[in-house]
Amino acid sequence: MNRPWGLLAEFDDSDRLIEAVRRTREAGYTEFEAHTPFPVEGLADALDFQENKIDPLHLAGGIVVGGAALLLQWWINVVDYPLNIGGRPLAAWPAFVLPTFEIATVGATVVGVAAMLYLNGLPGRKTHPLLKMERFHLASDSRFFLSIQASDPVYEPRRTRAFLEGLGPVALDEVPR
Amino acid sequence: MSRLLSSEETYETVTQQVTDITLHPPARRRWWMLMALSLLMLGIFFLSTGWLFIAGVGIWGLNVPVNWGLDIVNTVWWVGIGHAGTMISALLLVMGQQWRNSLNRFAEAMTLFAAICAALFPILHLGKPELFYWMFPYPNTMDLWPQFRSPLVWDVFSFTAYITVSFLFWYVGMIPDLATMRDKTTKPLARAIYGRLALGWRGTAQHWERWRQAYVAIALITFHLVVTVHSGVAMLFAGGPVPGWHTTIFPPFFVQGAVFSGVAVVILLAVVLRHAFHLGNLLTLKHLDILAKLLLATGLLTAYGYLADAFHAWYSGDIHEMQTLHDRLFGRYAWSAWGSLFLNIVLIQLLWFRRIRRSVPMLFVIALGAAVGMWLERYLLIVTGLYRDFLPSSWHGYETTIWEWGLFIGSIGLFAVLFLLFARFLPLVSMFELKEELAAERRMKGDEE
Amino acid sequence: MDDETADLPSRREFLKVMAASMAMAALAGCGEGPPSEAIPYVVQPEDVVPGRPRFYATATLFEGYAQPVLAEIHDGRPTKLDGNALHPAASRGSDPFLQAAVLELYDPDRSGEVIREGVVATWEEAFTALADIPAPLRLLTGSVTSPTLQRQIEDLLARRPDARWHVFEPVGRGLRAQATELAFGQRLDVHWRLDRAPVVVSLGEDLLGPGPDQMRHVRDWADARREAERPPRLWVAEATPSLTGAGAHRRQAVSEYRLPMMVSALGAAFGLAEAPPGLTEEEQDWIARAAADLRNRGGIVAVSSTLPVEVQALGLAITRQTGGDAMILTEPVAVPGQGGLADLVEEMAAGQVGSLLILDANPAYTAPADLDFPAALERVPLRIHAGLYQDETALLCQWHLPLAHALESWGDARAVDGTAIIMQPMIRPLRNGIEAAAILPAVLGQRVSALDEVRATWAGPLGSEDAWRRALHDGLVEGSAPPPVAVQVRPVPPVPPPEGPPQGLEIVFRPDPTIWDGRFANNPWLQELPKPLNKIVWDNVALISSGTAQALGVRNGALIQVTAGGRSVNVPAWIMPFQAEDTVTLFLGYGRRQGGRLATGIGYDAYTLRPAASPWRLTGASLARAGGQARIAETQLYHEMGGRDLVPVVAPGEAMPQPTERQPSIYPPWTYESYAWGMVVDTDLCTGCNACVVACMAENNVPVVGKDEVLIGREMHWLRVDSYDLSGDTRFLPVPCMHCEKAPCEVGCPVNATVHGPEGLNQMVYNRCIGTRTCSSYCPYKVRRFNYYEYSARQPETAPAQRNPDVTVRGRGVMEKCTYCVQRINAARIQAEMEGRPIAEGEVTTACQDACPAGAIIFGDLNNPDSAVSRARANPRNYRLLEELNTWPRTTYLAAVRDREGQA
Repeated sequence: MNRPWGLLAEFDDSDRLIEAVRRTREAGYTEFEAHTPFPVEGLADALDFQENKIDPLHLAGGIVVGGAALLLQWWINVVDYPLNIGGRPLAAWPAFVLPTFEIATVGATVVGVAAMLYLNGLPGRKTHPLLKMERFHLASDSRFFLSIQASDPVYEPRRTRAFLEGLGPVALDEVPR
Repeated sequence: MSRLLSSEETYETVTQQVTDITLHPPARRRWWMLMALSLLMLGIFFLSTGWLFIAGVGIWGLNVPVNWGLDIVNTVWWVGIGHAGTMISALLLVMGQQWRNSLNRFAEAMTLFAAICAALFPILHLGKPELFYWMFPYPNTMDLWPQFRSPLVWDVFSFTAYITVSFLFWYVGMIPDLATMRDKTTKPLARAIYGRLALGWRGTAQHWERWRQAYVAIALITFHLVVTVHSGVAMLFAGGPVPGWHTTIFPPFFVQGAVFSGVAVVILLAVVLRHAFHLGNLLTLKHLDILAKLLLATGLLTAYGYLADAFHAWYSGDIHEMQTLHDRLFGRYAWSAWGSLFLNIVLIQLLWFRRIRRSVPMLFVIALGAAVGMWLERYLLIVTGLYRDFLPSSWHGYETTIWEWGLFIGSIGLFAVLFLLFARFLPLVSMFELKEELAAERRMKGDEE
Repeated sequence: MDDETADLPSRREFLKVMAASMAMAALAGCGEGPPSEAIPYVVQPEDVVPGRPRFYATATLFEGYAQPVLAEIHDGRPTKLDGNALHPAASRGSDPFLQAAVLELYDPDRSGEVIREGVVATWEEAFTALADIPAPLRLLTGSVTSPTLQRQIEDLLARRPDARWHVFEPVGRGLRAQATELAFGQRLDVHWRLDRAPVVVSLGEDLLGPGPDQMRHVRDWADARREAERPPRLWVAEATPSLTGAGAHRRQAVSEYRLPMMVSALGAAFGLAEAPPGLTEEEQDWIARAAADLRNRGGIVAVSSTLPVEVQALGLAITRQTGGDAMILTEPVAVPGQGGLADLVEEMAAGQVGSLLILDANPAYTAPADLDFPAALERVPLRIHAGLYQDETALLCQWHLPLAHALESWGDARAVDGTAIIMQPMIRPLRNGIEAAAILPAVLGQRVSALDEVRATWAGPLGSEDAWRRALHDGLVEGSAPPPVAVQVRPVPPVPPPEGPPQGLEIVFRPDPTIWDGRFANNPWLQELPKPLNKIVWDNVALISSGTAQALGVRNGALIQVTAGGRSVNVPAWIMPFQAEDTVTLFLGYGRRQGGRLATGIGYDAYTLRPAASPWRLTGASLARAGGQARIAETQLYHEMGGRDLVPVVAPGEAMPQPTERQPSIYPPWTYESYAWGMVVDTDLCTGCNACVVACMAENNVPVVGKDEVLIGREMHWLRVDSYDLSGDTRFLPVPCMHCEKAPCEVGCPVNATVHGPEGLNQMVYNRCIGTRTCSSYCPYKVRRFNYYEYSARQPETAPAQRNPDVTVRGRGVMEKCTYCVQRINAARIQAEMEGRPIAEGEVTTACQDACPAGAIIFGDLNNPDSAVSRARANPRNYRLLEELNTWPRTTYLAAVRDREGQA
């Protein structure tokens, strides 16, 4: 299939991008993305992106891993190999607190990072078409980009191009697949 | 808040300046000279470690009662230094302090490398270092497990968690900048490597949103690690009945002392980087001024710790505690007490003056003093606790050997090599966060106008 | 001895087993190097169980006196010696020299070959030379108690009229024999029965200090004190601190030259002498109170055997009045020779000696320097030396003959009380040495075996096979001690008037407390055994008072030059509490020039200053700073308690002020179902003799680390005896592991390498230890020792032969410490389980407990309310060291007992 991947519009100002994103959403597009060199305030609102999965996953990771650590310590000391250490009780709960906490932090962090990457689809299996674009390197430098994918139901090559031109980009390119 | 960055800075200049350090190194010769020196010290590290493995831990000056000397002093000192990086980066991120943006990247790198140095000593100090993994719980045919009541085991978990989480915090925070590096480099190999490291980052709004959630959450977690890791280290001492160690003030006392020494090292690194890579516009005098205030504040906390520690010894009325307090101030190692009192408390009082806070050489000297002073304090706490404890019959002094100093100098070499490699190949300053800060300042300016 | 005899073979089996163990010893490796072919048992001996030790009675020698020994033999190797409890001279415990003798057996530096003019020769050639020994023949020996040697020497003197026998002991018994002659008209041995003396007044006499008498003196002293309503009192006046002074009721530092005056003053109190002028008020007070005590309660006056004979005679006379049966006089145990060293040297120097046979003596080193023995020796045409080592004397003789070690020998000797012991070999000679009893007859052309000679000597009393075997089995010849002699006191001759304060300083000479006159200088255990009072190892120092030190401007270890009698020697100064002013104490035994790798090159040689005429004191000495500082290694640097009361004192019958119940813990208690091992150490009975320390090293394969490592602070002794100098006395505190029930060390270990056992032991798991040293940091008692290097591999190449196979040898990087001799507990448990019974009270003893002559160490099961240790726990003197830490130690102590009456 010779259909391109989509279209890429470049803006020189973050406010203009926010405006463009807002209008794109209003135009009924769903499969489009805004690319910025830094997190831009208001962009997520403009996209109406309200996902809150990472934090609960952090918490779940911490609780599950930390709980397992606590259980392991109890099992080792009370069930598997009980030993009289300094006349202390076998289940030395105060002593188990610190390892439990430390292991829980590792669990929370690893799970959270993994979740963040997974939800973001990172790392991709092959080079993303956008990364092959000549000017897209400015997306991590100083410019702001809006990409609309050809797979969007509202996408129509000529009309979409015209729509984007109407948003006042400094450049507009077709992204080959 | 007043502006930290000059209004001449733009997104392009930030990108240009930071990526150029890596892609078009501005001070190759200076870097190589520093690297050569660091490699020499790293050589000393390998020499000291090699001989240690061959001859055994007897090459150090340790004995009974002074079972621990420079080995554990260095552990505590290194891990303490790391804590400032985490604190500056994580705590200030959570609190929305913009000024951290110029500092956090290299401060986090410092944390990671310092933690690695710190973790080496407890392994090397073992009588049988090859068996260090016995401190981890792993299934084995003998059904033997670590002893979870031991503060040493707590430290094993603390250090492991600290290094893991600090690395992830540093790395996750660097992904967007690695993408910038990927996009700016022209060399195919570098592009491939940075590309792999950037994990296909495209800076979409969703990327940023999820990334932000994860980053802030890890920051919160890391901040708690600062408290628990050094508390765990403090427990290694407070957990034993040794006079001068066995006190509940040790955990907070150690944590704030750690941050104090860490801020000092951040200042040292900031001054060096600023000078070496001409980063005066990004690491401004304002940044140094804030760091100096932080140094002063944590130094005053340290002073409070000293006072409280001495008061507790006196208030306990315990003969052993009083003995140790007396020995610390007037005993064989009194130089470490008076040295740390002067460097950690007296000298930093200069920082009340704005002129000194903004004088780079003065600040450098005071920060160096604080780093040395905290090392002396660790020495004081560990050695004077042990060398005269309960039974006068077993009192014995401790004299260091060149192999202990070799390992210490070597660990500084290891740190320096890692740090120089970081400065040469990875984005030294967080570009996207500076740009975010620029954007915010522009918006404020726009609002004012 | 009940428990040990249980392990002894029946007498019928005895010789068979001996033969077997000797065959095994041959396999264990003799001087001939590794055997080329191993020889298995053709017939398995009936009652040899591999891995189970056997015990045999014999003796080691110390200044010619037999030390009764029960030797533990593992697969043909003697590994551990203890006192033979059947023998009256060692009915309890031992001493450091007896304990360390087993290591001497395996000393690789011990002489192993006949040497003629520096070249290895054969015994054949040596015997030929001995048979042709030219006249006039002189025989020089150390002190001799052996009936066989005595018989052989008498035989030799009878058949060689040109021969004369000289005896020289560098330390010996001083002028004691002459003093008894003066006091009672005949030469006698004085035996003090300290258990029968309510008051003991010592004037310079080190009754409890190291020496052949230490074992019985400490034993008797402890028996007199143990739970006594009115413990005996010890009054000590001495020039230099001794172990006797350490336990004194009141000690008085008195210059050596003033001691005769003190004795006279005491004599005056009993109407036996004129009161001398010139005593200080303090001294007069001391005399008055001691005299009153003697008069009220009776007791003995022990005057140093080194003081003038008239002074000693006066002391004996006082004791005759006050002593009751606490002083026993017998015929001398050691056989008197025909002359001493001085007259021999005179003859030698005059060229009147044709040949000199030196038997087990080292006069080239130990002779007072002003005799110039080496020069005189050169004038003797034929010089033959027989000894354990190729020492200084061997080097100056044409012939050197290696003597067999006592543990390799057939022989006999008498202990200090006179009871004879038949010595039997515990192992075939490791080297090419033979017994002295096989050498002497060679002078008369006789080729004999020592066994035949000994049997011939004892043909009368031990003529029957049964009697002979019983003597071997029991380790003593019943009834062989000389009976007490009844004497008439002769009028006491007047004590010569005091000579007045000497010019300059006064030097007193003392044997070294651990290597004696130098004969033990190559024994690493004894070299690393801390000197009891100042805990110095591997060196000798010169003791001075703090006043002398201040006047001289020196501190501990500063090199000073001691000049006296035209000679001088450089010595490290050491400030000693309780040292008399203007007194310098020099210790013999160091500065060896030849005689082993360890012995040579350390310390200074005090013999070079020692005058022949006055071997124990030298006046007119001067001190000067020599510049420089000696590196002196000590195992204890501080002897003050620093405000702590580590060895509390109670009055007789008084209880410890604190309750003996331990403080509560927030942790629920652990229960110990089967046994609960515990130890109680009675600090009142401990005299600081160190026997337990050496016994622990022998039992537990504790390595020696050497001077440099001790200087760093890495000595490995599992059991140490701390000494603390207080204003009035010195107190000793033996410190093994406390086996705390709330052990801080266990909590610190990250890998469960030290855990609490089901019987309450604090166990060390060497192969789990990774060497974090946390346990040692946390140990308040600092009883844990760390192998900073592989010390076990640094021992002499033959040391492994001595090791106890029941105890692990520790490698580099692991912690170790006292185990309560867990190997002995386990052996007893296995035995008890085989017999289907619980371990009986007294069945398990620790090595330190066995070694203690005072019986100050009590070990056993705390779960058994009737055990000795439980009863000791209930003693109102019971206290816990560092009680405030609430570690619940299993090792507890009994407070020292002092009555304060009459002290200054």
